[in-house]
Amino acid sequence: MSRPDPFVPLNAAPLNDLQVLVVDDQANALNLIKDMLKSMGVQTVHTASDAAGALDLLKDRKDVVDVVLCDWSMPEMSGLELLKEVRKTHRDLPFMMVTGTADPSSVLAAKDGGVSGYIKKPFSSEELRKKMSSVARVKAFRG
Amino acid sequence: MGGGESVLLVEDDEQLLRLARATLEELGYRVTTACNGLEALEVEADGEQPFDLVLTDVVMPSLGGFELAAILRESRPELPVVFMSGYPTRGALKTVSIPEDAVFLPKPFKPADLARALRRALDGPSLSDPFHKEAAA
Repeated sequence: MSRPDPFVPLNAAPLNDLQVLVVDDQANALNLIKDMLKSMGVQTVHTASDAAGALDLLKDRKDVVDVVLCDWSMPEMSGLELLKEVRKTHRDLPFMMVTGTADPSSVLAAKDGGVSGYIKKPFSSEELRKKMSSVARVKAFRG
Repeated sequence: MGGGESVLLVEDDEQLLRLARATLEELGYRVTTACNGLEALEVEADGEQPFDLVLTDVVMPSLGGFELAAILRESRPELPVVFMSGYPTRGALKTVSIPEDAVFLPKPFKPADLARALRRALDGPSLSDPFHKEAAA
């Protein structure tokens, strides 16, 4: 019998049913997050290299993604612009901004745009797991 | 007044968060803050000691106060919760499911209102309590 992971609370919601969308124009960063998610048991990780790809995936669908992890700085359409676009159709979808630094006015704009939280680079697998666990609890509650 | 109880304060308005925190600490409560519902779940999962009460905004992106309270109460059904709301009455919030024992604190509020709402949630209602009437409206 395997030992339980000491970082995972015994009553934590399972992450394997979680459907995550990672949006990043940097392939290395995107793959790193994808690998971290997979290693913690998330089975469905969608990826998009730009905002247009993310919007295509979310278009007319409410059940395909449980949380969006989005890079703040992307060419053409930024993470903030994507957030505002997503909020037009997905008001309650958890949307987390992945960022190194952010100036106060951008943070305020993201808050007004309905951001659900931040993942500050560099981040550990444990930090990411905590965020995903919260989303999994919400998913389990909403059924 | 607070008796050293621990409060999880959840509010996405930073100015109101700071003000409410300062007031709660002056009243004698121990305060932990979260700036939205998802962060509140993280904070709660991290905590070694369970909170005595949750004081939360109602309207927040991704996870509002009512859903947050319901999720937290899955493991602690008796957890006291106070909802801070810009909507004055239960009737104005028809679209969401509201707990039967909800205590409302209409915004904006004075320190005395905050103190009374928390004591009501922690100690139970009294007939002269205006928040009891408010919630039933």
